[in-house]
Amino acid sequence: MSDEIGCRDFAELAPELALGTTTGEERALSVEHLAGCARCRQLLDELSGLADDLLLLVPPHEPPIGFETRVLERIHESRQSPSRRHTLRRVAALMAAALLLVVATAGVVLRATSADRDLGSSYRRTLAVANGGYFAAKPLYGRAGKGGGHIFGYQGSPSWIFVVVSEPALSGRFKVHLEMNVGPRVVLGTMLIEHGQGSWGSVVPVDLHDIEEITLSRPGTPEVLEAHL
Amino acid sequence: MWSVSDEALLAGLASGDDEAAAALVRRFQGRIYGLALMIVGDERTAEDVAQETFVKAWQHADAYDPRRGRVPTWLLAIARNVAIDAVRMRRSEPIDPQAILALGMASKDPGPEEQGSAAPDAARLRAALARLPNEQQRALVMAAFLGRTAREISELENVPLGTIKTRIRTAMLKLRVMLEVYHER
Repeated sequence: MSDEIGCRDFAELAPELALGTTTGEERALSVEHLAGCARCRQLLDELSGLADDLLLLVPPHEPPIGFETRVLERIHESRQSPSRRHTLRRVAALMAAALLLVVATAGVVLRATSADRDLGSSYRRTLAVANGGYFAAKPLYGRAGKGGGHIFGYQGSPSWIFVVVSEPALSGRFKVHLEMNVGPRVVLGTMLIEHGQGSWGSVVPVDLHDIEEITLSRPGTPEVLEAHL
Repeated sequence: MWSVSDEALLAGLASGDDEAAAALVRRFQGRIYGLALMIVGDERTAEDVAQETFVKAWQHADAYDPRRGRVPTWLLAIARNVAIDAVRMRRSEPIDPQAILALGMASKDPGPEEQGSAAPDAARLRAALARLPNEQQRALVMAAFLGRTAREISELENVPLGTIKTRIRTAMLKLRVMLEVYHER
């Protein structure tokens, strides 16, 4: 494909672009063309609206009893932990920024849902670069249930985890264990936490799906931090 | 009976209004849970996805711009992406697009909420989808609902990539033309 595309080439790409399933290269070329072509922007706008409207065709299905209460409780919990909310939003913003680098020129947002769709599309393309299945981020919890950092996990070739600890009460060397759904516990390595701060990463020899829990502990003592991936 | 707009409920959710949040959940829980259940295939995961959708809606409600789209499609797009991620994380078996189509997505008959004039556009889109050849419906469903790229669909359907791209493109453009015809009448 040449560096520039015309209206005919764009029309071929537009449906997949609207559905958020194009490759990074296709998207970059499309955005470049869109910048100078109002007619193609109109076409993409219409097709994006169509893609959004398809979601309205799904038959409604009432959730289990108590769903509303459980949702509101979750929102209440999040409201009561503003620092956690802000931390997660910062992490999400960083992740989004990193993912969006893949499509550096993707700056045209034609509809409200297209931003969300673009991020999902970028995410999938980023995963495809290293044969990835998914990327996840989960909080680390201490024994008292308080947050103590985050664990990031990547399922791919290879799979890996990255641990970020922020827990003022901790200091020293901690073993990182994988508790498996089936099979013995795996000791992955040793992580150094200094003055409550530490970060550590490692390739993992198993699929992330098979990990029940990741724990940090000192030899001879109970787990001090844990996360469910 | 006076009814609060979707946008007002979303604004209430963003500002911490519990009554607005509850009303928003009640208004959209069926649609959100229905989409989640269709994509992930089991009730427990579907509830997780639906809950997460509303939490994300609360987290991002202040970024919602009513000029760029309606609240229902904004919420459904969030639910779709959360559900697709959940499927990928659980390494589930690929969902058969025929099972999705069997839910009445493509039908000349209006859905239960589309009787009368409540949602004429959805009924027209449903009827237009029903007029597409089955192979185009399948490709479109896999891309639109399951987030599959043309290459993934090609591998799952064991059909050349170019053919899948053509099916998706033709399906979308046909739907657009069919709906334009309706609008011009």
